[in-house]
Amino acid sequence: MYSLVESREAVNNWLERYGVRFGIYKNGKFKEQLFPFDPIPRVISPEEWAYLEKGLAQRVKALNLFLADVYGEKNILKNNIVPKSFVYASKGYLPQCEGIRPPHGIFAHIAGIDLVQARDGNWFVLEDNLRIPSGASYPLIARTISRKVSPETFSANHIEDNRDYPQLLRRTMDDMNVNGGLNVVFTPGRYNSAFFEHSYLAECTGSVLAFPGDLVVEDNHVYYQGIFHEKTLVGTIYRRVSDEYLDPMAFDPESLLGVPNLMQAYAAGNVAVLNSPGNGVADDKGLYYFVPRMVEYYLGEKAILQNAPTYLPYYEEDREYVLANAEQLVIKDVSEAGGYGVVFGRDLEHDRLEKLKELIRSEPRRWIAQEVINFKDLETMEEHGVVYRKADLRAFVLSSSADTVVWKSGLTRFARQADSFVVNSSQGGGFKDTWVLRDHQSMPQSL
Amino acid sequence: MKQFFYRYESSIIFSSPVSAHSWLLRCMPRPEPFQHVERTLLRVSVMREAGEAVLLPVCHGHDAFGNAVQTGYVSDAHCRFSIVSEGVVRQTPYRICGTAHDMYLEHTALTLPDGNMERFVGKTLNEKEDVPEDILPGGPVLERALALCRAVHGHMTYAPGVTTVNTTASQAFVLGRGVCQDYAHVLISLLHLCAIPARYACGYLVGEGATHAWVEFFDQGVWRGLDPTNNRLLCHGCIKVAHGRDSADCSVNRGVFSGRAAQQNILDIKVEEI
Repeated sequence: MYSLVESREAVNNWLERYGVRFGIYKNGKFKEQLFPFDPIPRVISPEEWAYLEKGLAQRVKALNLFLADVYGEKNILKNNIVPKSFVYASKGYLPQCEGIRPPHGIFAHIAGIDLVQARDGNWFVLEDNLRIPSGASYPLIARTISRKVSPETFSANHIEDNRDYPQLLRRTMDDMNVNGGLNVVFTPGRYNSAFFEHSYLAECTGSVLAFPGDLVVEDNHVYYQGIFHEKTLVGTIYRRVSDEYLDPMAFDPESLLGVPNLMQAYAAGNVAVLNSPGNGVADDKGLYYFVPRMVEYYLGEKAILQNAPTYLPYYEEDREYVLANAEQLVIKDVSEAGGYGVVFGRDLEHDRLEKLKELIRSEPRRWIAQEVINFKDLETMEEHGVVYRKADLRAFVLSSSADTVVWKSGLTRFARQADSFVVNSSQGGGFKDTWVLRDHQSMPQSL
Repeated sequence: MKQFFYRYESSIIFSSPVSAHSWLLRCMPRPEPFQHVERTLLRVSVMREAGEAVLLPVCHGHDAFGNAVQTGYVSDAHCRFSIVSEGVVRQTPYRICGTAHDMYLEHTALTLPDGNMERFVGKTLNEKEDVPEDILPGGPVLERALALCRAVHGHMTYAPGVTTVNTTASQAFVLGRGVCQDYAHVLISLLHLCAIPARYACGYLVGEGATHAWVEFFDQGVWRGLDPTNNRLLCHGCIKVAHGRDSADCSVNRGVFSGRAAQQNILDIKVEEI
């Protein structure tokens, strides 16, 4: 452990050589930056992990059942557990996906669930990401490099090996594959913020990395065409292209990234698409409020994992509370992602806060408000020693026809600034490895 | 019961060859309770510069709105892309018994109303200005739909070439001019403001040389056709091809190809009672 901490620079140098970068758009310009790695891991005890694992699998099962219901029979709406208008006015709800049942009825194959731990040790789910959650590749490659740079750290500590992520992903891709054709990772290309991840996961899972233009739909089947235009049948597309650009025939007609007529092939069951188009309706910041109710409704169980205390201005009672207590709340625009559209009431000057309240009154459906959780700070190495920083955890949950598996690791992101609560990599944060311990022997007493 | 023959013939002529052409068509009649499709035929072909027409294989499927769609792909270079769809359809008066999906109450980018349109609804249904929405008369849906249809017909002037396929309802409303697509979008917006489920429908009309668009609204378990361009409730003689939330869900011919070419469109539609 000590030797790993001392190897901070060495690990970061290797990450740089491997091209582990994160692209961001700032003022309309594309800029790539390194994704700074902190060698002090987040450490999770076996008991704590058992609890998280159970809660995460439960949550993702319910979300999958919700998606199948919303695009199918709509019982949860008929029974008024979730108000209809939340579904149909959601940007993530895609009418073009109505009635489509994907292979094995699974919609969210690769889910990224964001959690935080409060100072009192309680975990809260902050957000579900069921579209194209990125991040698994970073702890994966960081662990691989760390093991090389400091092997003794990993022989001295009994840590669950996280290098099985590609096998888990591959298993899901194979399981969904409808015809024995190729597995492809479909990337928007070199200028996507997570391009490193796309290429790395393609390599590690033995999939083909497909760029826009490489996939073509003919006879209602999807083919990969190589540079010599020989065509190979595709069975699974792990797509990292957003829904709206996925198929110019069904969605944004101006999209140059998409695969024309992909939705027709998908609807006919001739290809699997991971994650399913239309999943945005379930990871909408507004629908989030209802996830614990979904768990009860579909599984007949109490939700194991809690949401952060959340208010929906859509309900009058909540709206009154939010307007009266805006200074103490964090207010989120439900249509934004990646740490954008998140404001802390206490950071706003009087005028801007009043303006925000006005918007909440006029468009209540667009906002949610949450209590600010007092995150547990994690130790982080800076140039001059250890400092404490806010951090979250993105856990990855993979669903296949047989089971719902939580990867025994995860991406821990931390804020670079001492006073910041925003940990998103698009906002300049760094990351840590997440260790899940096999037993207590290696629970560090102190660093 | 009436019987109609229809023929839809359309070609795109490219100024220079294009290739890798994917296409999606909605050009065949949609089976509906009021519309029995007796027989149909579809031919899609491409032509090289001075060659013979080559017939393309067609895949038949459905979209999420229940419309019949026909898709295909041609990789070879071609200068002309042609579609012929023809057939015979038997019709009873236009009505579709069923349910209304809630998506038909939501605005889309093309049907989003604005303040002008809200006031217009108030004025139309009350003959008074600036009446708040909640005291609109709760008159029968059919009556209100007809009043709004008449009002849209009166407000708009038919003018081809003023609007494009991307013109929104509120833009067309301000212009006060447009084609059937714009009339339909405006009426859908207004019906939504009254919480009446409404959707875009299109197809072929007796006596029209182009595709026509109209509106379907839902009242007491029945969808009815309302044509704001001609200010009438539809009965016979419009061959329905597709419906959706707006025109973007119903495009008759959508394509993606590679190549830089100017396009010339040729369109001929015939509908006759037989």
